[in-house]
Amino acid sequence: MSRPTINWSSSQDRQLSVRGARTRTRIVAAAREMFDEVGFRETTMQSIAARAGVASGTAYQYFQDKSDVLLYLLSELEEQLYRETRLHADETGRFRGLQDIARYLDVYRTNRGLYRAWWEMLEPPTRFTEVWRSLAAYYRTAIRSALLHAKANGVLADGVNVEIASDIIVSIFERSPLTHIVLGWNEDLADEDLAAAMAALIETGFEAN
Amino acid sequence: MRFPDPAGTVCSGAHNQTDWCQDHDQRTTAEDARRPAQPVSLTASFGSVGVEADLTGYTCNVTAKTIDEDPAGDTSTLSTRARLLNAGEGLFSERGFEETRLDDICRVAGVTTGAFYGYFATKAEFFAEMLGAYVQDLEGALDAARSLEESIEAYLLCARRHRGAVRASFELTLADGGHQELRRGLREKCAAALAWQMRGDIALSRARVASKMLIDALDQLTLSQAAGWTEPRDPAEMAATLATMARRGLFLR
Repeated sequence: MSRPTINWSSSQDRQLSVRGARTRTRIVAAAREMFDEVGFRETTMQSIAARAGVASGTAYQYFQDKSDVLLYLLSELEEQLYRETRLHADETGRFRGLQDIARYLDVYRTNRGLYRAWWEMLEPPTRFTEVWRSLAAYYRTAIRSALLHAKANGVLADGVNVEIASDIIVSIFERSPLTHIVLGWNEDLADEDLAAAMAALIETGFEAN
Repeated sequence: MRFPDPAGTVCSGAHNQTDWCQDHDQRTTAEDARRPAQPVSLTASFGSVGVEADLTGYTCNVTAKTIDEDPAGDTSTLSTRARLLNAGEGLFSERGFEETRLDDICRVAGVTTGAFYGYFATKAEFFAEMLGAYVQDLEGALDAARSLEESIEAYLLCARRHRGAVRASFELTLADGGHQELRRGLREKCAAALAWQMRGDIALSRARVASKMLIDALDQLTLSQAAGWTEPRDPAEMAATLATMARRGLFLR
């Protein structure tokens, strides 16, 4: 399965000047802050432009609308995810993922506003829903092959259904950071604690050894 | 009892009352007709749950009317109400909250919009009733469960019966601060019920974290299934795998 790619293409054909690139950077940085502070629905192009210190008309020269800005930011986020996050398994297929999960949560925390906007845009369904689902399917395929490898090596717990376990792991990676980082529902838990708990649920369980 | 795979299952209407069917959920309508009116409250206690004290910061009251407040008091109007709610479960599951129009709910239920307004002032009020029925069903199912597996399976089955409420509720969690607080309270409460089932196997402090993670995973799994994003799975098998993961993880030591 080839990896899905979020394609953002400029509404402008022309190459950006150095100054133009700088303006665009200011606009997307402002959009990030707005998404993080008030969410996608409450953000307007006007408020992004005001935060960036440019006229609304200028902002529209770079992006068609706020969805276009989000798509641009998500294409960057996707690259970062591919570049910086992994889930390692040992040679038998056992996950050894605590460091990987902690790194994933770091990336998530850094991009909190984008994830907040993305979650908001899942329902009612939009093109962002399609992107989300294809990314989830891509990660599920990778997780499933690791689990099949573990099963072939006899290290998977008895009676585990690989298809179901794959669904569950993807769900954990989707939902745990939503409640923890975006919604802030685990007040008493640090990010490291959440990473340890995610690793425990997947790899070792919560019973004492 | 067996639970048929919801994909492609076409209900003949001939199933047993104790079978689950995605097109009919007669059990709720028949039972609710006999059930006394009862406001749904998230502050209600889960029996002897040991971690109740931790929940005080999160409690919130949800009042939702139950199905039996029937203005006319006869079965024909009751079934109109039930038909509307069943139509809501199907349509919200297919399209979500915002994309479902009142007209469609009425058409599927086979009632006029005028009849709808006889029961509910708005779509939001209609949804509040669906949600109230879901929460009440969920609390009852978790109360009745006797093990971690049973609790998880009950959670999954309940989400299937109320798949429209599940999908719409997710949509509103991201869009509506009031609904978000309600979901937070429900999560705390369900997690407490799961933590209680883990007593004896897992130390309380770890069980509290584990149970929240289980509820989160379950909420994502049930959303994906209600919205048709992932393949349907057997609830008993899902419950067995999740319980195994919570206790000892996926891998042999």
